Amino acid sequence: MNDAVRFRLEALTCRYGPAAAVHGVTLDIPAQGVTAFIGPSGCGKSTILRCLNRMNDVIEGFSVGGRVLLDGEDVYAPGFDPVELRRRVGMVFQRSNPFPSSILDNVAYGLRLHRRPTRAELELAVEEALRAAALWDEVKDRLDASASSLSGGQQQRLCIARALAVRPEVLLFDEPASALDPISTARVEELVTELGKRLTIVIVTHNLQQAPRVADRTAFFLLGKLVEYGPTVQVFTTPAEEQTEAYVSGRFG
Amino acid sequence: MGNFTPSRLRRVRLVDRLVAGGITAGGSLVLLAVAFLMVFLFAQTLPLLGGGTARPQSSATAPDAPLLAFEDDFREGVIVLGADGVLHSARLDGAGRTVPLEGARPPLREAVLDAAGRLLAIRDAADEVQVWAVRVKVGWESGERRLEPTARPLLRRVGAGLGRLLAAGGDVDAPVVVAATASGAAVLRGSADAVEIRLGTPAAVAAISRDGRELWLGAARDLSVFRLDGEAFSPALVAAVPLRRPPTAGALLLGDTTMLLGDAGGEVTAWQVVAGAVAGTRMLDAAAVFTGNGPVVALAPSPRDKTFLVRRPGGAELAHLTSRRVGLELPSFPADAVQAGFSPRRDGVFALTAARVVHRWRLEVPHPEATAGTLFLPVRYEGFTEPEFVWQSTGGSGSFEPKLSLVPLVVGTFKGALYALLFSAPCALAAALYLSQFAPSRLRTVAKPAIELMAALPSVVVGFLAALLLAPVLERHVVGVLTAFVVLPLGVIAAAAAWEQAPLAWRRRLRPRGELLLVVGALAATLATVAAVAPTVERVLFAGDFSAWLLASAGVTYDQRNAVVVGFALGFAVIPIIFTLAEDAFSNVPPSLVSASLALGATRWQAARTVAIPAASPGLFAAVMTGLGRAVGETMIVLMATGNTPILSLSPFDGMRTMAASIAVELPEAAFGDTLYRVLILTALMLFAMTFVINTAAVLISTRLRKRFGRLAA
Repeated sequence: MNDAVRFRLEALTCRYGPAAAVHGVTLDIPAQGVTAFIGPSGCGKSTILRCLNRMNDVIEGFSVGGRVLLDGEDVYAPGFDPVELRRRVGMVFQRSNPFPSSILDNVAYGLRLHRRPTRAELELAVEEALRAAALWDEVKDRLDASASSLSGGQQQRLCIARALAVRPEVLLFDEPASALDPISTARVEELVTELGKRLTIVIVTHNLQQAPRVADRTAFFLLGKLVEYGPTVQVFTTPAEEQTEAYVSGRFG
Repeated sequence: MGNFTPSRLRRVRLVDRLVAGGITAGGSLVLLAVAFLMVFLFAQTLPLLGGGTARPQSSATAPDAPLLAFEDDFREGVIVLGADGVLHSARLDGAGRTVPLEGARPPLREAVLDAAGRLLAIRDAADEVQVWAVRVKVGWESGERRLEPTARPLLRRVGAGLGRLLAAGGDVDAPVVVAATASGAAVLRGSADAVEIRLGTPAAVAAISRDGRELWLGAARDLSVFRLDGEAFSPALVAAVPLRRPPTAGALLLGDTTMLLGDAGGEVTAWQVVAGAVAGTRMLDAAAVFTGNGPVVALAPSPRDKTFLVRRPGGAELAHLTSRRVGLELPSFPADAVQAGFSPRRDGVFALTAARVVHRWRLEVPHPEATAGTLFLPVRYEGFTEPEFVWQSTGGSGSFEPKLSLVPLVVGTFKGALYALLFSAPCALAAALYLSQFAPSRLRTVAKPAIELMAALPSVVVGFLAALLLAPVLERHVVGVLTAFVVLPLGVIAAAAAWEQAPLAWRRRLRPRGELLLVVGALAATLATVAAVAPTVERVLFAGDFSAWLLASAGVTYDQRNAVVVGFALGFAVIPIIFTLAEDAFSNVPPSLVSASLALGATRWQAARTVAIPAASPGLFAAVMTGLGRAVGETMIVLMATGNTPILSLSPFDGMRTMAASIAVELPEAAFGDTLYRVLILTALMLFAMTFVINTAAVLISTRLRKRFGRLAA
């Protein structure tokens, strides 16, 4: 099971209008553990991440070439429902974006989209999600308080809980800690590591220290191309490519 | 950095200060202009509030044993008839002149004047009844106005056996005099013998209409109206009513429709002839009762409006029939007055006393017919049997009474605005939602300016199209249009439901543009169906003619220019406003929230429903309210497309008149400072207040909503 492939990218090419942002990336993401995408700004790592749950669909002029296989199924196939895909592949954004409603409603949002859960079901699921996001103890007494009353780090963990509540198979993180202070960052990182034990996690990060702390594997992108992909320790200590070496040692980026 | 030399810095600061000063001055000017406007409007309507004033003026001296008096148009003098049979013109500056009534044997026993102040009936010492045409001739002598009373004999009758002279009326060609007799009244006229009308008791009060055709007689127990028709001049009873108390005074108000009767109990009752219960019959109805302290001694009608003077032993006061306003006291009214009346222009009141003094008051009651009651409550006007809300500001005749109820205008304004919103708000909000949340951005870049361009269409053009193109078409196809209203949304929903059932592979292949084509196709198909089916529907359900069916079954008339037409036309004008504001509100919803929703597996509609619409709702509310404000204030479209009938009706098939349209239509015709002018300014003020309240409410409520929906994550 350890070797099961969750995502397989085959010659993935992404275009915004005529300009290609990702050039023929081929990559396997295993079902277990945390995979980090690193690279300088504009390298296409976020674009690839958003291909995994088709969040790019809404962008005007965006088109993909190649294939993105989720458990062997092409997510860009005409018969594949992007709504179903996004339920299986959750996402946590760079900046926390809780809905302007209560903590409970935030976590329950995804559950309520698809069916009408009973109050008991809902409370159970919300508690489970909040515990999984390590937020339960902090908010259990004020589930009806506004989400905006939480601190930045708590809000981000709330977003994680919200994504977990629909029980996704994959969770995508788009620079989840870039807007957080060091302590909050540490807590989110702990959470990512923890979640990686039961979910497929893909995390895009700008932070060169973060990838080694949380990721089992790391992919390094440059100018829309995959430069190197392997176990994190290898990418950071003995990179095969000179560009990787230059980037991880902080010579550019 | 080196560029910031001290001199340059000074210059920058100077420019800064100049610009700031300019902006402050400009802003202050705008505020000042608005404040001035408010003050102006307010000042112009203020006189409506006041009841008026009556101030004593210098008095004139009357001859010995004065019988009656009247004033000239310019109030320069008082003409007093003395028992010596001479008209004494007592100019206030002292210069007097006298005109004897040749052939009247002094001392005169009594005299009465008709309501118009042109016919003077007297009974002389030899018991002869004479009627004289009296007039104050205006001449110019060495650049000065000279007023000269004249008198011309018209009629002489033997008055033996007749009681008191009660009234004179008719015109100079056919004067009529009424005198009391032992058992009723006698009518004297030039061309025929005296006719006696038997009432059982002697007539106490009488009045004759200005055309000499209608005679009101009040006796101890009843009030009767007679019609004096034909050459034979035989009085025919029109209607009669028993009285609770014997009348002590009577007067026919201007317009000859209302007879005022005063009694010893202090009440003044306004009697009017109305249609009886049986068709063709008439009856007398008490339209209003005015109470006061002390018995009514005499009543005098105003020659210009429905004001009248009530004399009681303790003094005299003014009352107004339509507004039911009473109680403007004449200060220091003499207790020994023998007669009192209005000046011809109703700008003054005089009272003649036995002590040879003519007291005079200057009257300033500019707007007796406009009170809060007549403007906002139902009013029973002459000729009406029930109090009603009527706006009818001008009429054909001089005795026409303006009816100034603002209620039909206010209702018409909101009716037009609400029908407009009914059409425009769903269209505009749906368009904004679609373009901001669903449409491909290429479409948005075309459609948004296109909709906003609608606002650039002059409203006069919209009104023109609505009145001359839309209204006739709508009249012909009203069933089709109404059917479309119901069927169109249903058709689109049905099409969407059908699409849900379509094979998954088809649906997945649909791009946003295809979606649009699908909807347009569904709309077109529904419309075509409605067009094809409408004639059949009309034939089957409405017997082939909708407006005839409407009239027959519901008693509702179909006006060609009606609220539906206005709804479309005004809605067309309001759509761009609501759309623009709503689109902005949707665009201001943080995209991150929509992304978060989509990332949780929401469909686009779910994301719109659960995130975009709630987050934009304060803005949407403000958009609709602003649209309402615009619809309320819109003038040209409603002026052209409503038919301008100020009727109080909520039926969509009736026309209406709005406040703005009334101002536009009638202000050019209103004389500066008169009642209509001030009422129209009041209408403007109300319009201002209404849009102000609506817009303020929009801002306040949307701010509160915004707070309730919390601080949105960026």
